[in-house]
Amino acid sequence: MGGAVGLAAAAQFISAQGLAAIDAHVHTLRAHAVAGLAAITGVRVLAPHAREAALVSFVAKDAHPHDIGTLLDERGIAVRTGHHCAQPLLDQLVQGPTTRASFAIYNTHEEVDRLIEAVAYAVKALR
Amino acid sequence: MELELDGEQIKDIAFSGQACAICMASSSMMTEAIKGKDLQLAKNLQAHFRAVLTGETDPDDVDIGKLVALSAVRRYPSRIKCALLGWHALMHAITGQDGAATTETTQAGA
Repeated sequence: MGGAVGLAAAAQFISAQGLAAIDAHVHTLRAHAVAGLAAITGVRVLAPHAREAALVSFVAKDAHPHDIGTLLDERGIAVRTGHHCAQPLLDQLVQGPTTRASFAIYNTHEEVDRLIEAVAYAVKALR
Repeated sequence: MELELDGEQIKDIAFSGQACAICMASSSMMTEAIKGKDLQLAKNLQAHFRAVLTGETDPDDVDIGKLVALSAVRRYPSRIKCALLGWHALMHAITGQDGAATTETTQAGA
């Protein structure tokens, strides 16, 4: 029962915001993240030109996503790490696990700055 | 994971591969802990270490030697498998099974 009520509220929220506005927001966050992460030495952003995405995946030389994830977790940042339930595909395309940050309507540019800073720290610490 | 057995004794052990820092450290510590020891000790150590990491046993209640340095991993549930992967491969090697070990269960779903 609660799930149905929640879903209805979510649908109403999205209608009120407007899909275009939500897309614009998360795409801008993504662009901000891509630019910041790509500038970190040793970090390779995957599919940087996927402008319609609301997430960014990256790999870092000598820094395993599991370890990056734990260091980001300690800074209050939740990312997904590993093969994202798609190991055969990732092994073909990337040859390994990745770190992935996704953006939603409630995320802010300040949070993206924190993400970039934390990844820069993690990559340096793990080198 | 490669093992050289002399009867019940682990004459030599080595692992190769790339993984996260916890997995590499745990696997390395594992090889140090059991090289030259017998299979039963290795099995006991695996059982105790696993119990500590899954929270079944308190690290104060069991002797796992230097492996106690990794006991804090139990506070990071998503990293427990990292610390246990090498041991899982070791158990697979000890029971003499061919090919790759799997951590998948037989149940459907995630």
